[in-house]
Amino acid sequence: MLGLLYKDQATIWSSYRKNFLLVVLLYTVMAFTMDMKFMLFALLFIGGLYTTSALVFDEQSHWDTYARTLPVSGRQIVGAKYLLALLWMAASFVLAYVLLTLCDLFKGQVAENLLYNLTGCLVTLGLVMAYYALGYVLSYKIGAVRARSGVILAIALIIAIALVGSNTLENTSFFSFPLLDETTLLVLIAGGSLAVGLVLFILSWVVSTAIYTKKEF
Amino acid sequence: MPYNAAELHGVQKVYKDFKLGPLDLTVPAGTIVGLVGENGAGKTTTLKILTGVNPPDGGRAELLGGLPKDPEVRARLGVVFEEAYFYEGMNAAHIGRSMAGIFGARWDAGAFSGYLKRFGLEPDKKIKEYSRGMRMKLSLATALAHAPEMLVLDEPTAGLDPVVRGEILDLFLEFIQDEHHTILMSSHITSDLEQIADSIAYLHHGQLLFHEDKDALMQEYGLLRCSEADLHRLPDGMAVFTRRSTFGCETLVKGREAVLRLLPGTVCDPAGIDDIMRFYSGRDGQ
Repeated sequence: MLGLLYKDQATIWSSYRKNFLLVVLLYTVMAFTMDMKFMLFALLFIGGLYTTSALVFDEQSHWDTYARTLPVSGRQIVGAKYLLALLWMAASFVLAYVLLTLCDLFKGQVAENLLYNLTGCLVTLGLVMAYYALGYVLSYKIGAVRARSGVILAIALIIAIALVGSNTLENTSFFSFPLLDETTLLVLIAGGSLAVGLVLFILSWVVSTAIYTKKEF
Repeated sequence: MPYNAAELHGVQKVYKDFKLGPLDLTVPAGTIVGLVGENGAGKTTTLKILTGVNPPDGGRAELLGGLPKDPEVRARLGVVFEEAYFYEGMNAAHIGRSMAGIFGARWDAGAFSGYLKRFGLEPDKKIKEYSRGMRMKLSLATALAHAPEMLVLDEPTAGLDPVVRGEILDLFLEFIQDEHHTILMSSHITSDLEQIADSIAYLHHGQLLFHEDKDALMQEYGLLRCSEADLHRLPDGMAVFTRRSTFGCETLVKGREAVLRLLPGTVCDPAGIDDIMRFYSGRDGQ
């Protein structure tokens, strides 16, 4: 399993290292100088996106034919992909949250935004997990390259939801939920999103494993 | 006691436009078995079933005393497929570390480095910068560094120049020095197989036409050049296929010694694997 993780991470890092650093730099500059802080939430999505490229590389090199001759099970092969995606999303989560906090610190708004940033990151993480849950199943079913068309549509959808969600959160009057205080409500929203995303992600792993083990190369 | 490293019993695989088998094939341990056949004859399909890439639709495959899908069995197997390997953006150092994680204690990093050195492969150079021969050497280094008991190779010498082919064939002969080591390799370059194989299995349209000891095969088959009248003196079943021209007949015969006794004035040279394949496929054309 570690070898499979390493293989994908090495492929991603050697192919996208410069691209990743450039994206982080660009989004950070946009957030700090152009009042476009929401771009930092997109880092969570970008983090997962690199891991789906590993599937495209696998198809190009017919890796799965080779992998099936190695002492690893189909469950491990698929599991390594999902685990790597989770690790990238987790790392992107930390990176996005740190950059958001630094951005607020820079603008002198850190105290009032700390909780909103955390909630925003958690909600985005849940959405991103749900998105990749679908993306991975599609990739295993119809192939990563073809699944990318669906991915492009989903990107637009995710951005729209994230924008609407972030505006809604900012404009929500917590007095309209008389039984809940602001913190509880934010925790519920973030926790709910994360829980749904995680459940979908696990379900996706189970389905993808079933698809993969039946697949022929 | 002799044993088989691999066995196929009544194996079948059905695709929309192709059917393999039922196929029975045994690969004795300690030997090199060459798998030959025309394009689309089912060689790669057979190797994929044997190595556990795809399951058969019927029959069963046994590999190193177990089932091909068993990770314990696969840990003792080294495989080289012509087109299936790591992504070309990776380098040999990445591959070594990845395989160390996959094979665990079986992976011998020192042996892998040794092969890279021997083949003149730079560990930090990306696969895409390698020539075809270098890629094949890297695939072989990867297949050998966990000390497998058996190598399954799909067209390992295809597209390589004679010098590299020679190096690779030497490596196979070195590997087979251990009597527990076995090689099953498919190839279109039959001269390679004539050099190193112990036996030849000929797949034709998804069926195994024969699997025979190479020396016996070369002894048994002959290319007979004679007149039409001479040809009619041969008993039924001896002539596999005849090509006729204005200069006479050229016939692939079985039982070369017997033919020479029956037709003492004729020329009957030993047939190579290429000749055998050429005449068998010509027979189907009629």
